[in-house]
Amino acid sequence: MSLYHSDTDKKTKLFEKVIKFGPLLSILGYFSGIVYFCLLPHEALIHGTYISENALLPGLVSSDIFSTDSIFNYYHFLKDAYETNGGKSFNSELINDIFANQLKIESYTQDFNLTHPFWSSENENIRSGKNVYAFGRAQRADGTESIVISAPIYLTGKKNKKIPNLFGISQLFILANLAKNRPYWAKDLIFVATDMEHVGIQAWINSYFETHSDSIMAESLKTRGGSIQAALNLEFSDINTNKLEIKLEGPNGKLPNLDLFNTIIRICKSMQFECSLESEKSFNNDFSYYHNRPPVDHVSGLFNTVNMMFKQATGVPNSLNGYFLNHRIEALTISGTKTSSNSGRQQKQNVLKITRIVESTLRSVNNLLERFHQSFFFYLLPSSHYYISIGMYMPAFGLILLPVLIKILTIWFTIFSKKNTESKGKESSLLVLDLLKCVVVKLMVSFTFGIILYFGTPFFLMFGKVFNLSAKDSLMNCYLAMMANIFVTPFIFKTRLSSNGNKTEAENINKLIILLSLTIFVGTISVLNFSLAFFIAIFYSPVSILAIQRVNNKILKTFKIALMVLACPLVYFSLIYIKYHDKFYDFVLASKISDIWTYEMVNLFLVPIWSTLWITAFN
Amino acid sequence: MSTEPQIKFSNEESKANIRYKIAQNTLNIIDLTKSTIKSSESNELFKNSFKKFIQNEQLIESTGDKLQKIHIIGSQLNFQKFPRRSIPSSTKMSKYRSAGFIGALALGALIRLCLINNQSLRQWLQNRVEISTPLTSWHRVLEGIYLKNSLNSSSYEGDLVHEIPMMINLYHFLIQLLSAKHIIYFFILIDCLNSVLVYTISYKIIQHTCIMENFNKTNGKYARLFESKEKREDFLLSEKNFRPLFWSLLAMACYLFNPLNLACCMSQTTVLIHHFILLLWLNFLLNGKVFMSYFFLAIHANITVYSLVLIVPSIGVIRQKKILKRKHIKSELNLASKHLATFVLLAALVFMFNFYLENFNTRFIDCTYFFILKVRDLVPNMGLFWYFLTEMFDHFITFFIYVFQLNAFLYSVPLTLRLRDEPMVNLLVQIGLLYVFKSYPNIGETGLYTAFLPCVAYLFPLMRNVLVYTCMLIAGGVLAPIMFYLWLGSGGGNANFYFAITLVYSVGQIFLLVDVFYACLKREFIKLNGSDVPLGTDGKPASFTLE
Repeated sequence: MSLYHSDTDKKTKLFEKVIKFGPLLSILGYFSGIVYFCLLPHEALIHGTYISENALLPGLVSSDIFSTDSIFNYYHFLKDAYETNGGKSFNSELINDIFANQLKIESYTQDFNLTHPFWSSENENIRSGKNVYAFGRAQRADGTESIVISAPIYLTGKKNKKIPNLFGISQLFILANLAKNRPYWAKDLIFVATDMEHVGIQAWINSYFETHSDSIMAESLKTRGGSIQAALNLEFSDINTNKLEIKLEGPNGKLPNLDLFNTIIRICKSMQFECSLESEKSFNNDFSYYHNRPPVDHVSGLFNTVNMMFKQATGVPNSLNGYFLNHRIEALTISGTKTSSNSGRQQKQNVLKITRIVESTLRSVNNLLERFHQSFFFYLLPSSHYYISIGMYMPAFGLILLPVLIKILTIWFTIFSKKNTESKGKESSLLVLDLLKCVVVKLMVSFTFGIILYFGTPFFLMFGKVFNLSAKDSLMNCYLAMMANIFVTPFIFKTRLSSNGNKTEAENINKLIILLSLTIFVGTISVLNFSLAFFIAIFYSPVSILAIQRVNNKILKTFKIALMVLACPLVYFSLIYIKYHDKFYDFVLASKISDIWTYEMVNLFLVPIWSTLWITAFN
Repeated sequence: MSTEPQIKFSNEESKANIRYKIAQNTLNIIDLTKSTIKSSESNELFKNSFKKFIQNEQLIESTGDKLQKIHIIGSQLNFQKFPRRSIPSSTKMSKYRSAGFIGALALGALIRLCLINNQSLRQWLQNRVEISTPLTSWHRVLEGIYLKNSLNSSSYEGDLVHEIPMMINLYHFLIQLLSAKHIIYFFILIDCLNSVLVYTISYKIIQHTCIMENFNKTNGKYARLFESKEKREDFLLSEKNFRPLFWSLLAMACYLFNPLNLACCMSQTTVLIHHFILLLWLNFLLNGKVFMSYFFLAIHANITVYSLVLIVPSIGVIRQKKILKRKHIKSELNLASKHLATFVLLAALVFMFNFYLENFNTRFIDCTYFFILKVRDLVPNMGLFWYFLTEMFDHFITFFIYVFQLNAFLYSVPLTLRLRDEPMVNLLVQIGLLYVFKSYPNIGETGLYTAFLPCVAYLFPLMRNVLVYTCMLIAGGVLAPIMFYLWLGSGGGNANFYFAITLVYSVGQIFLLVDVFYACLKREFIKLNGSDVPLGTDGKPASFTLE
């Protein structure tokens, strides 16, 4: 025994323990992580939602909307306009006209252009639209704060059909009337009717905050309201609605403050109107909705949670409310659906209730004394009445990542353990040189792939033009080419080590760096977009361990390679592309137009990590 | 030694034998050093030291403790007899060196030149609080120049500029020379020069460490190391087993390709110029040009007040250089006070020059020195001050500022005393501590001193928690902008998010520095006491702890 190494007996013992129990702990950790996650919506672990911000006082005000007459007036007026001229007269000008001339409030239009970020065929290169925005100034307030109520003029229905948002727009008028006549508003109300769905709302928000965008050119706004505290987005494809669905998910996994969501749910309950998350599943329909709080349903809760996580993981906003979240404005979308046909009387009642719900929500937000800051910003919703907070779901993520952490520790110990340092007997500078040669080259090659994918997409599309391919098809070709490149790399490129080099050492360091970069990547993403990180971790935790493991059995080897191919992000891109042609292309476009980084992050970091794993697996 | 009594050898034969062996050994070592060291100065140094060595041996012959000394020499000779492993010849190595040097420099410059084309990245970096601190922000410098020249008022109007007048004038001159648009090329040039300086300084540091160790070895200081049971031939450093060429190249690469330094270069922070001055200090110090080195340190101390404590480790270096040259040091206190006085005089001169540049207006004193010491600007950065001071009640602030600032100045003297035989490690640790405890730290400063870690790579096997703080530093670096965004961008988080990360980052740095310190002490212990684990009072093997 000597003092030449840093290891103490304690450390050696720890090392032995890690080596001995590591594999067991890894497997245990991974599966217990998954099991724990599945148990999260269970009665014992779940918490009921509550309103944290005292000032909101949901449902305490008496409504100022007494009849449906004016709503139906506006609705029919708009409907007539929509039906007469093949839908062409139901446009921004008409809405602007009503705001300015009938309601007599400040109203303006805003022109904007969308330039295609990549090359595409001429006719779809530039599209333009027109937004309307109107201000209901608070009469007795100083106009330092405001609330936005937005509604897209047209919604996209099934099969890309354009549906007019007639009821949503008519509600804007009703609320504008209230804003004009009532003295109790403490915040300006800003009404925004947007053209071209998300492009329009983005153009408006960009101009409002004067942020620059390469692809959306928008006219600057003529006037503004106070700082925006909250935004509601109304989407009603039909006036015949008996259920509200609330959409939350914003860009890059952002969510609005849970208080806002709770307020709406609370108000709906007090109005006795059915309200839920978007496509919320509930398998036991026995309970009466108007119970104080419905009982926990574990299975449907889990289903809803995973559903929400899928939507969050893509990073694409679920609805137009998402674009407000980018600017720190709490926002959600209220959309109406029809679950059963209603009689005329019932329909009238529903319309009144919906309008009152929106009004009541606005007046709750109107009560706010400070920005939304209480309650949760990081949560998952198994149902509209229960939530899972970050403190509950993060341990599951940690447990799933445990195998990678244990592996890192094991590799670290094997490299720098006592025995190893004693038997080294080689000059340190040459050793470092070997390691650098072996490790850096591998990483450089892998990260080149990522950089090519990240920066090269427009060039690939340009290249496709030469072969008369459409932009969409050349995207697919780009993936295929990259995949072929990466798959072949380990066979072309064999890391050359100096003949007397320490091969295992270099390999170990290589493995260590891959696992560390994977952990850092996933850990970082988990802070921003938990769902995306969670799904990546579920996949990559076992795959990465398996990839760096030396396997001699032939069957196991093929299994390993098959699993690795399945984990390749590009394979997924191609598969999704084949299934959802246009949607995926829009997803790629969204990363350029709306700063949604899911696609780019995966390209820039996950693809290189995967390709390093792939190269290592064949070494 | 001269006071020891003379005793004659009875056995003339063994005496002759030993003399012969010593001579052979010495010649051997001189040959080796000749082939590896190009610098004439160090060659001279070696010759000198070996001359002294031989004289010493003659003294040894005459000492009373004859047997033990013979034993030492014998073990040293045994030590030399270990078979040498094949290593590339020095010419091949120097070829590698020049190729590696030019290649790394060219690649570093190329990366920087490519990156400056990305305007959005540059703008983003220029606005990052971690890089553009009040002391180093380029925007502030531009503002200062504008105030001075276009509005004809003081640069320090509005408490926006915190650089000393000298530097503001320098930047103004540069902008006139290059135009504001092209000034980035100057920054790239400075960054490349910094990397070259890092290279030369690391080379000097390693060389010095090797020479020192050889010197002590030949003086028999490490006798007990050769008596220990388990012998590690490459434990003591020489230029054979710890190549200055390679490690200094690695240090240069560490500087050039460190993302922190890249970010600093992109964002045009003036910290690069501060680094340049600091590196000039180190360079002159290690080259023995004491006055010049103090001059640059005086400028740096005027820019960032904290670096004035670096005079203490500089004196440590000078002391050891004197020992190496076998100059007798009469009184260490005398030496220290003499150097201290020189430095203070120089610093005062630099201050007076600035005073003169400001037309003897005292305003700048409050905007530079007191701004740093009083920590008025609490915009978040990677340091430890802002959070505590924002959270604190006003009437406690003065007290806690004293406590916090004391941290930066406190460790200098004790560390120098403890590490008096390892002045190079002392330099590294002290620069690091300074950057951790200063009021407006910049991530580029971490990038600077971590670049010197390859110089102490020999401590690596003795360090304990490398994985822990490596992960902490990486996590801190990656998560800082993200937490900042969660707090002030998306609004989901709060100040604690960012504070937690800055804490992780700072604690990681402190762990790193403490571990370097610990490893250095342990190495010193082994060198002096041998590698056998000593037994404690209870008869069990003693453990080595840092207390």
